Amino acid sequence: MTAPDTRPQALLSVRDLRTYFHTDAGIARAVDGVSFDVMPRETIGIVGESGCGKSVTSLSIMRLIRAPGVIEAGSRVELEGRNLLELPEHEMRRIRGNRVAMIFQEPMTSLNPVFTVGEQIAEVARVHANASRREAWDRAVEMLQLTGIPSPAERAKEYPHQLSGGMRQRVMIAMALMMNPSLLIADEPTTALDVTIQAQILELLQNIQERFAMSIILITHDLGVIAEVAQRVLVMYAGEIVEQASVGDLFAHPHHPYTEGLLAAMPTLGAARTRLAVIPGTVPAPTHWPPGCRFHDRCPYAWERPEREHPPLFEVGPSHWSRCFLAEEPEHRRVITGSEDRVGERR
Amino acid sequence: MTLASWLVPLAVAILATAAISRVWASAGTSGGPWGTAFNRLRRNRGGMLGLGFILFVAAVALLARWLAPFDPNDQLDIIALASRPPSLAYPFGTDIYSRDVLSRVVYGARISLSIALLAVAVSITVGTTYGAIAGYIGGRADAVMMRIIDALLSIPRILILLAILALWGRVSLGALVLILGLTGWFGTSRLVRAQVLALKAEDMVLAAHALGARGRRILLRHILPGVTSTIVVAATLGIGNVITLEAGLSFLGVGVRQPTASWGNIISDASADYAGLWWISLFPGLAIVATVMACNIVGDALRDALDPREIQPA
Amino acid sequence: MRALVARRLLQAVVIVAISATATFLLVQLAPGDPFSNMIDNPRIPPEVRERWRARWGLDRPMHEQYVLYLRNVARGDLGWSFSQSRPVIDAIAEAVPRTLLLMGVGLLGAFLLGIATGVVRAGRRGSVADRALGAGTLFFYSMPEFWLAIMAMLVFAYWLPIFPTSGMTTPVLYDYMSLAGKVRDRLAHLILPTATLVLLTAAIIARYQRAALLDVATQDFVRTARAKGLPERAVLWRHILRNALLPVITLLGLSLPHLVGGTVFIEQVFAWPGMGRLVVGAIAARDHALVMAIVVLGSVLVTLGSLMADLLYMVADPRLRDHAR
Repeated sequence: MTAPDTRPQALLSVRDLRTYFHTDAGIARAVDGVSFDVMPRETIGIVGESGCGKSVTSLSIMRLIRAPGVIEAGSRVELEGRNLLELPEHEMRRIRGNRVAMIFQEPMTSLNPVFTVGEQIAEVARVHANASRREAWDRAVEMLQLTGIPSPAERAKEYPHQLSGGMRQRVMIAMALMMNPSLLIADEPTTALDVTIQAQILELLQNIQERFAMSIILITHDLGVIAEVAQRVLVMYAGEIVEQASVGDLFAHPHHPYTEGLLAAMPTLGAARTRLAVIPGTVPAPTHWPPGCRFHDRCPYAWERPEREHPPLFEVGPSHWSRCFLAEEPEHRRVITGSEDRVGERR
Repeated sequence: MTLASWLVPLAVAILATAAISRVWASAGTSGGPWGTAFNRLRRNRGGMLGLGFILFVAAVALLARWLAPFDPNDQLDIIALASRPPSLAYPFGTDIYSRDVLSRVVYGARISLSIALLAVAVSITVGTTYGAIAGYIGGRADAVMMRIIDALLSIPRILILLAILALWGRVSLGALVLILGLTGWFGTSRLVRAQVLALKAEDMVLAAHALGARGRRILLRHILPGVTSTIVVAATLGIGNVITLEAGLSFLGVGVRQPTASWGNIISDASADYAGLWWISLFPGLAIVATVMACNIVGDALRDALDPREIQPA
Repeated sequence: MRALVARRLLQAVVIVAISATATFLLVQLAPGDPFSNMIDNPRIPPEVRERWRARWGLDRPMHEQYVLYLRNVARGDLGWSFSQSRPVIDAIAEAVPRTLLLMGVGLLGAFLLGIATGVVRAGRRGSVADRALGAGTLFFYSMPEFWLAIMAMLVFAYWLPIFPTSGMTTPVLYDYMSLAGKVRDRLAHLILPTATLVLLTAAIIARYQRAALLDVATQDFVRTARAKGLPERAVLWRHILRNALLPVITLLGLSLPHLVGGTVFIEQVFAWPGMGRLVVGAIAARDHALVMAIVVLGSVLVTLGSLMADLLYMVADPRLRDHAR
């Protein structure tokens, strides 16, 4: 498999990451050979449907995977040159919340209900910088201010259940920013929020990225969000990256049939009222990935070669990679039956 | 009346457990919620062991006449054989009236177990009815009914029992069963009410209502089946509970009265000299603990099997 | 918050009233006429009899008796105990502190042991230790209190004569002991009955604590705590345990009736002169006034205890503090 070259100045370098869950029902290969780089001050988006492995990828980078999940040997995750996977646990703890921070999808359940938000934010500084109560608290209020929460000093004394969803997510972001991390991983940060709040949070993320000179990995299933904030995109499917490109390239010249399907499935304002395109079928079970191309049975262009052979990543443009044999055999890019505007018709 | 005769209840228990296991296996293949429940139950080895033990005790109780070496009330020889520690002839020893303790424990199984089963039957019936009605009617009446339950639950059950038994004096076994049953339904009613409320909100009930089914029909055909799992678990755990309670009451002298043997009142015979008559308290006590443990294990297994979403203690 | 407390207090009063009513009805339903039986008993001097008859309105119709009964109970007038030849309230006032001592120490010990056991079991889930403790918990949980009391007495007071067999203090000799000696004597007498109570109650608590811990450990905020880089110990104590204690506090309230009931047997076996032994003696002597009063008292104790438990829960869980939201 041809992976992107490692450029020496990458902030984060993931190589051949494989996270398998060893369950009674078999080995679930949730992340199966993922490689990518994150440059400093870059926002990359990881997009895909539920079960594609994007969350597990981010948890693997943070080494928050617990039994029965195992990050398999041979995987490499390098942050500023150090392989995180080889660090002893106490060293890794010094990285979490400090050099790499993470925010999650459900801000309500992600905050401890019995402590004030101020205490929970301040906790980060007390652990990593050995700050005193006073110092940590002041910085916490400062962070709350930064994330746009009005009257931060009063808010800090409140409990999570007293805040709205949008405010709680700002609290999570404030918590993540406390130690000025180089990398922020945001796992579906806006999925559980109202659309208007979504926009605010995304804007906030962009602002803090500039201000803190951070890189962001934004994980979502919503291509619209990617279009707004990311520079590069990774499309994941069935535990693998199936397409990697800059945002502009992906939207303008999608290569992989799955990406095409995702783009076609997005409703567009002002378009003719046709039926929404749908990708038929479902993701195969992670315990039984098919031997060939994993998108094969849902692909409108499918022919024999991808059924038996597993496609590697092909370079289909400048910094544009696609895991599809169409790169070598573009003549198969035609729908087998039905009209062209019904993408994804089954054979 | 030899050791060999004890193999009979043992065999009965093993065979019965195996038979039940096979029945559940075939029911399990049919699928559906009950099917999966049966399969889970079968695979719970502790649970099956507990079930086997309860069946063993039940078999012993039924076959008491052939298993007990002596008549439980027979005073063998008040001069020579009173207060004898365990020996080959009298494996559990004799009590102060020279009665064979083993025989009393065997017959006591009959008394203690049947009292528990019947009392729990009463509790379940009353509790389910009360709780179902409260849950189904809802509103003010429900609130009042539950407030009464709160109050009744706040009085320690032992004290209510002692008060009743003090006021009524000597009661027959049947009355004792009734009293135990009528003091034990409060918790069940709360559980059943909660289930009924949950089921009432479910779509199928709303649909039935929309189709014009009358209240009673809805209650019987749609709600009660959902309540069954709660009841079964409550009943199993309740049996162990009542065995303990009855033992306690009999120990204090207000439950089963002498000379009828129950596991509890055998132990009270030792109160004159706990140390010197240790076998009189040890063996009936072990019988109680073992049986109650078995009930708890089976109750837990049932709870695991029937509602895995619930938090499982132990 | 104050409104909440006031409401709970009112609920408590209602509950006690219902219990008193239930007790009254019980007495009325019983064969014979226990109320006047108490009073017509020839062992009571006639002046006392007349006074009580008037006070409890025994010649009046039932609803008037009921009102007088409630009024008397509210005032603390619980009748005359002929087996003790003194007002019921005096006999109870003497016995209750002793029971409270036993229950208080027992409850404290039970919670400490129960929580610790739950923590150990949850932390080593699936291990030998977990299963051994689980079996042990089940064993004690299934045991009748009086039997454990007897066995404890046999082992630790007779075969290994470490502790005294009964009572609160050593008869006669106690009065001649030094202060230190007296304290030691009281402690020695307290240990076996308390230990019995502790073991049995701890078993119940341990089961719930383990379940609560396992449930909390899978919650999202625990993942957040780890993502912040907190040491595992902080995650366990500050985040997991702190939240897992909440359901166990509700258990405090729920286990009170069981606890009060358990002390009856333990006091009986260890001859501990508290409420439990009092009620058993009263039953034997057919002293109905005393029996009924203790039943109502039991309800009062449980209600007060569960009220305190509720308040404790409100303090511990900030989500319950402002009802206004």
